[in-house]
Amino acid sequence: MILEAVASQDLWIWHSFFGLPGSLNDINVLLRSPLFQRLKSGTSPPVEYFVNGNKYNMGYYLADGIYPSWATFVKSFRNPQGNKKIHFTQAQESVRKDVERAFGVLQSRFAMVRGPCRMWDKDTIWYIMTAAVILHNMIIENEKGAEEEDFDYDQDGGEVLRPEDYHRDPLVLSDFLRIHNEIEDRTIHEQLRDDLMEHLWARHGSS
Amino acid sequence: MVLFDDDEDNIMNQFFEDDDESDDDALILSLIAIDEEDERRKKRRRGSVHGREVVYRDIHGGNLRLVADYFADVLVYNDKFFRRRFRMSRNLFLRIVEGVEAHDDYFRQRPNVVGLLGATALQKVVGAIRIPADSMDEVVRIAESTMIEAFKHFVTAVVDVFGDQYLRPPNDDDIGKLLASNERRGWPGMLGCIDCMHWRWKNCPTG
Repeated sequence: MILEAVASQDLWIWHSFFGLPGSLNDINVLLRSPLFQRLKSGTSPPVEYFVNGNKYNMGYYLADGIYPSWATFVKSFRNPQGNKKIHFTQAQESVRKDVERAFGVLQSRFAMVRGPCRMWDKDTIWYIMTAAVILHNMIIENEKGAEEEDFDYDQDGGEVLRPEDYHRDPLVLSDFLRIHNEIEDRTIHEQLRDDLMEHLWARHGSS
Repeated sequence: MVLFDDDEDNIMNQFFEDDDESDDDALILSLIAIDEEDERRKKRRRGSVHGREVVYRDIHGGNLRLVADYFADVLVYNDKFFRRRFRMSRNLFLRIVEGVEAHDDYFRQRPNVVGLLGATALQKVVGAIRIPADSMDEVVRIAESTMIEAFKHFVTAVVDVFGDQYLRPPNDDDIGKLLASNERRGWPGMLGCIDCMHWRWKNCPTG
């Protein structure tokens, strides 16, 4: 079984997707994951930012090498050459470990996640895994010090979870395709990576 | 004489009426008995079974000890122990117990068919969170099978009660904070890190 997750620095897990067999690799899981569903249906909150003078309008996630070159992922260089690229790769990997840390904490926290699952029923396993993620987030909120910046987690997301129960909103096809193409745009992916590299390098130089 | 006759008539009338009613009663009673018999056959658990082994594991003693150990005014094990063993603070734990108990009637302390009270919500949740069920039997005094049952109820209740609050897609406010915090780390536009965790399903149905 595979759990796909998105975590932030405080190890809060923002997205979890679970239930596909372990014989799939990360890309196949991603293609079936509802992660970008809201982005594609045009209902996700707008994001806009500048890097190195260029404007972007989609947020991105840090990912490891196996993920596809989409505009919504930033990967490190496989064989970094030159100080800029080496610095970028180090910075990317040191931040990307957030999600690995989150997995580590999740596993060490609950005996029910650590061992192989002994249940027979797939829906029960989905509930176990989701409950573990929810408890994990509750603990993070509970133990967060007052001095740290805290998210207002108490807001209601308004979406009730159910296993495999997601649907795509009917959207104008052209819009859907446009956003879809934007997400999977390779040139933007590379441009974003280069801009971020420059940005980090400038930051590194000034500090 | 006339008076006597009248009386006799009355008695006869009364007798017949009585007879009628008791006939009806008997019919109703037998119908109820048949219904109950059907009901009993339908139930999987049908009370006492001849030759069945009963373990007198002192459920209530288990509850009392649990309360004395972790939840009383004067504790045996203080917060440090609690956190180490339950991986969360006591107030969060009690909040979870309260939440699932209000949601699922299963967690209420209920009497069994002969009127003996069963395990309390506290015992069921402690058993569910610290799952290696057989070894927890010695501590919380619930049988392994009951604990696994409680565990299934627990994960479902957690997802239902806390799911939409603690595992939800980020809203505008969250995204703003995420972007701001990641920009300070040198990653403008980053929303998080994505990865997959593989997890073994021991009893995966095959073939």
